[in-house]
Amino acid sequence: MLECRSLSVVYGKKISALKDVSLKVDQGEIVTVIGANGSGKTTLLKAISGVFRLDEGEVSFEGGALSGVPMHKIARLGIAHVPEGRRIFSRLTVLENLELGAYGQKKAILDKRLEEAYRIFPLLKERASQLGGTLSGGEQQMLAIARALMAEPKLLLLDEPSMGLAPVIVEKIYSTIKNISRQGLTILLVEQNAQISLSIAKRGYVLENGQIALSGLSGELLNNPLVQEAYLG
Amino acid sequence: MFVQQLINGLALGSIYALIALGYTLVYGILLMVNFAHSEIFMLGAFFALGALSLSWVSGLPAFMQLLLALLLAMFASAVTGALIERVAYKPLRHASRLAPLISAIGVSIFLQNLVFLFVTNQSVPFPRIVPLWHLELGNSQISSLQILVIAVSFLLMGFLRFFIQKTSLGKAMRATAGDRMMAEFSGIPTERIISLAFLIGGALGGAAALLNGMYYGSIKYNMGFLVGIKAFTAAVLGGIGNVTGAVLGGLLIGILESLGAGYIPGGSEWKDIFSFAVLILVLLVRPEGLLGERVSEKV
Repeated sequence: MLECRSLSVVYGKKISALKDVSLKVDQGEIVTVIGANGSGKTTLLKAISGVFRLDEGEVSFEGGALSGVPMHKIARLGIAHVPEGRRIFSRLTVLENLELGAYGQKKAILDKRLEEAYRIFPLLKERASQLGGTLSGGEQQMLAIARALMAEPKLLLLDEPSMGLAPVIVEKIYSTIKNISRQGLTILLVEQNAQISLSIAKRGYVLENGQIALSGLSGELLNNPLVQEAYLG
Repeated sequence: MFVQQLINGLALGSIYALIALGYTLVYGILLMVNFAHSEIFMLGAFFALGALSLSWVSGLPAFMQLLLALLLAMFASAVTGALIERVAYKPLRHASRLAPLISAIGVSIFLQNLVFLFVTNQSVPFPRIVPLWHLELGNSQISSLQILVIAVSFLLMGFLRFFIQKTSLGKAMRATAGDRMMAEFSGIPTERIISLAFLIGGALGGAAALLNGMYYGSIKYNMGFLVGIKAFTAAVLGGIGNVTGAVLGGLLIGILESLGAGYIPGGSEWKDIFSFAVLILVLLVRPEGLLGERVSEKV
């Protein structure tokens, strides 16, 4: 479904953020990319959704190349990006945040998706008229995911959904992600928390200094001594 | 006298508020002061005058003339605003923040001189269009023109508020102002939203220009400068980027200017000083403005 072929992204002509990164995500899979802070995980997702221009390589989605396609069109192709730090529209209400996730859709479709989003996250219904910025971190993460689901994407890009959240909340969010995936949604999940992301992913890649250091099935990675030492502590 | 100055100030402030909205809408999204906005206002006045002198317009009843002049001035100013954005700012989108600012000043000088050279360097009388009468309110009076200025301004501001709060495009606009990248991730074509902000700002500037022309009875190539800076002050006072703040700031500046001119002996001679004193005070005491939020610099 998604294929990245030897991606390279260079910041300001000098610092190389991604170097020759190739990865593949198939229909219905959860694939995770783990790595330390600054290893290029966020850059990778941003390169896929069109924030960064690629210096080399190509991203293709359902067979079509994404280079040169503006960000909002990539979103419309069915790639929903839940960015690092959630980036809720803080001055807009929860309901408005959700509505914008389905921007450009007719009212009937919007209402149907809204109902579905509230079914997955009942809490958001209670908070519907509250400003996004007043939600707690965990609630904001739920809203960010719900907003992305409002677009009915084919591929969900998740950037560190566990960041800054209490373990109980992280578990809750991960079980939701797992449930969403069971309904057939393809997910590319970037995480620092290797333990939890490998527990729900089918396959994983390890990113180190902008390069893929290792890849394999989640079980293999979990048992790999290098991964255990560096990421599972 | 107080009520009289309040009425005068409200009319004046309505015009400032309409123009201030143009500054604030653009700043809210691009974090850039559109210094050419004052010239969109000036051109709007000439567009309105042009519309009124069309032979098929000048024969119509006053109400129809007013409506057509308003719509044409708003339309032409809106297009001008969006055109300026396309030509002078869009190519500089990824340049430093100073570049579009300088470009804006350049556009402003260019447009003023364009009118100076190719239209006229003189004051041009502007028709009042509607019959002039006064309504007595105790010791004060309100003129038909003041009623018109206030009514049209508040109507337009009401439309804008509805648009921004309730429509899907309005929500997209607020989202773009809040977080442009996230808006793109949500499938919102933010470049088009930026054009829309310039269109709306320009249209409001055009409406303000028509009202201003009718109210003062003359227009000139350099009329935008002072009014523009005062409206900008209003936007800063209210909290630049904040729509309600721009309206509040505009009305406050208008009222302050009227009260100052009325109460301070010889005040009308230096009435312009009040707005700028406010600008300095705001920047010193509360730089984020009345309704603005204290935000850290975006990285």
